Amino acid sequence: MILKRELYQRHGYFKGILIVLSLQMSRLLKMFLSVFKKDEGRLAGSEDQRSSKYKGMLALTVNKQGELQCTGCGLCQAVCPSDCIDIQFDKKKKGVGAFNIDLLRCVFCGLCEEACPIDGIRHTAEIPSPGHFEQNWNIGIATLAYRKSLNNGKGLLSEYTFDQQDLNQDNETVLQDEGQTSNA
Amino acid sequence: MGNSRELFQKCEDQFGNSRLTEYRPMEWVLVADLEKLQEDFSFLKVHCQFNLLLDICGVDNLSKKEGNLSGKRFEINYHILNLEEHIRIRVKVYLDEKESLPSITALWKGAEWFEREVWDMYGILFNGRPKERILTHHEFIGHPLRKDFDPKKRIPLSSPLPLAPHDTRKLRGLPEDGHWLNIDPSHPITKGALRVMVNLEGEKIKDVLLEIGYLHRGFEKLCEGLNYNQIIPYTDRLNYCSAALNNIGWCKAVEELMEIEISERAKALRMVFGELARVIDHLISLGTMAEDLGAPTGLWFFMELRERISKLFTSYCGGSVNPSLTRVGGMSHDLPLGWVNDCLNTVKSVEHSMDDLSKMFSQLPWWMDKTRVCPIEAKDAIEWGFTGPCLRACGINYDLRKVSPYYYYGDVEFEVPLGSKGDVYDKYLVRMEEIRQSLKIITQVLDYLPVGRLNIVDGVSLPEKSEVYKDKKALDKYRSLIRDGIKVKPGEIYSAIEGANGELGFYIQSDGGNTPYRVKVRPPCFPLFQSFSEIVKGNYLSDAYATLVSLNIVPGELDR
Repeated sequence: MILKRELYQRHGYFKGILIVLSLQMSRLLKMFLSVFKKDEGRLAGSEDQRSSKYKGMLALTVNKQGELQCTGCGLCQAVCPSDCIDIQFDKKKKGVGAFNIDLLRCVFCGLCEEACPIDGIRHTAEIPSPGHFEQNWNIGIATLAYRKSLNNGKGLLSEYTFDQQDLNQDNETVLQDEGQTSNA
Repeated sequence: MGNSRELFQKCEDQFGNSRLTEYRPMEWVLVADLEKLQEDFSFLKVHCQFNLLLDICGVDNLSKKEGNLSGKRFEINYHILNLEEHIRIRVKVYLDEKESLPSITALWKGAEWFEREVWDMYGILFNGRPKERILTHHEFIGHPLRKDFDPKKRIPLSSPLPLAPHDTRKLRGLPEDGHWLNIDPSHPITKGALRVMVNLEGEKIKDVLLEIGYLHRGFEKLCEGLNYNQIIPYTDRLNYCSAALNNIGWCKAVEELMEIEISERAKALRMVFGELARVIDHLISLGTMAEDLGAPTGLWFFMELRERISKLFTSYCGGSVNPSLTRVGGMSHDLPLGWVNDCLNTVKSVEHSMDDLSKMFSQLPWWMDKTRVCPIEAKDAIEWGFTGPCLRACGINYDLRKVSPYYYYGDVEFEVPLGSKGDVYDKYLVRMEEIRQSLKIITQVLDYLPVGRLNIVDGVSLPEKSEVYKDKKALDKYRSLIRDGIKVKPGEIYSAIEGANGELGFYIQSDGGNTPYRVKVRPPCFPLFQSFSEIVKGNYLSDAYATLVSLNIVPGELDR
């Protein structure tokens, strides 16, 4: 498609000034009128306006009893492209001993959220900032699951709830897996 | 089609049956001899019209288990395009560590930086070319893409490159006199860090030296240790103005290598997000152009439109700049409820505002005064290896979406805008029109958005989470897919899409594992920026600024 020939013909200076002035004036008028309108776009930066998919600060979810949902299977650790997740498995407790995330390494891609089969880890709408943790960017379970902004310290409830039987079965296979990987 | 057969016959007569093969439709491979390389290239260029050099890419065969038939350590792949028949040829040369290649800058001007990059990354010398670093810094030791280079090794830089260093000046035969001016790594007109050093005589530019590599992150080395899905978040950071297109390009290349077909819905969604990303890229490019040419309010008008489209990305996948929205075998997830409606509304409002904006800039005397500068001839553009809007502004009708349509670009109606002179004003007009055409494509695709499941490829896409909760088998499959990644059969591919800046190509070599053996990005900015010094020579300094923004150099992609 050859572009229109008119586009290459220049206006005179007077006409140019008129066109730009009229356009700018109409924009200004619209801006004044928008004060009276109920504005939706203006608050787009606040937390409740962001989409549920927003890739902000990571959080670990909890089950109904208020314990960590995470079983320590290590899938998020395996899928993480920037190696920022470090999980220590506690063999006596048969659960997660320590779950650390190095936020400075994290690229906020959302692959761990996608990889978790039991909705144990999630991106929230919070934006991580140095004020949250004072110099300490390597955060553990206390901040990840029970920080104040998550239901006042109670933690986010996981969407996936498994009954006791499922849990045991799953846990066993997961445990074996985890033992192998942590040994290796 | 007939012509391409004829051409193939002609090449076969010259090169012989064993050396030339057609491994995919319109894509040929030629295995060349090191001694006869120069002859082969001049035959390809002069007699067969392979006139656009796309890429030069080295591969180190050191840790390859099998498939290294030649027994030599390095191989170099030249990708050359025939603009008329849309045929890509890969010329493959094997060589050992001590051997050197003939330089082909006499045939293609654009080869210079690619050759420098090969020396920088692999230490392979080209005859008659000095040892010059390009992506790594000037005190760097070693060649980072060799397989025996330890990526954890740090080589600190003691002092930055001085302003127009003497040895570089001597190398290029530049004069000693004149006033040198630094357009610094962090100048407001650049979209990242790059350095331009100009030699001025009064206000006219006599010579230009370019320094790049400030944003070199070792993307290609990084890819060798990650599996195919893990690389997607890193492709976001290539051209950060249109990240979705990089995701799509990468996934398309991997899928073509694996020879899998994705679902219709995924194809359509990729088209929609790709075009949205293209619109955003053009808007940013035009906005910064307006700001740098003395219309700072223009930036806010364009950015406001960009903001509206960014919201569509945010509501789909949570990130507007780094969306990571594709996966190998489909998309990351399906559209949220009501997204299509939002998108159509946004497209309508953006179309409406575009009319206002074009009135505000096109044909205005002061805008034309500043932008009708630095024309580029079509012949030169091809020599340098231009693609995308900058090539079309020179009047060459070449758009990958039209000439070798992927996904459903063959079925939608759109036109390719063409400029005439290739000056800054033409690039502006082409980008303005391309935004309108992209919006047209989006509405057409959304009208006929296919329904059905999104990720259907067996053994590649993850099973649905609801299935994983219930079914033990699905869980096992899910876990093995995540833990081990996708396995790709051995082979190599060069696959390209029409990026916002031009042809964005990915060359992948796989040795059968779950991580790629070698990845090379063909960034559209690389040849564009290379030509900058020649375009602006003899023009005023302010014209150089206008040219720099109109070329739309994004260092994330330039330096990788």
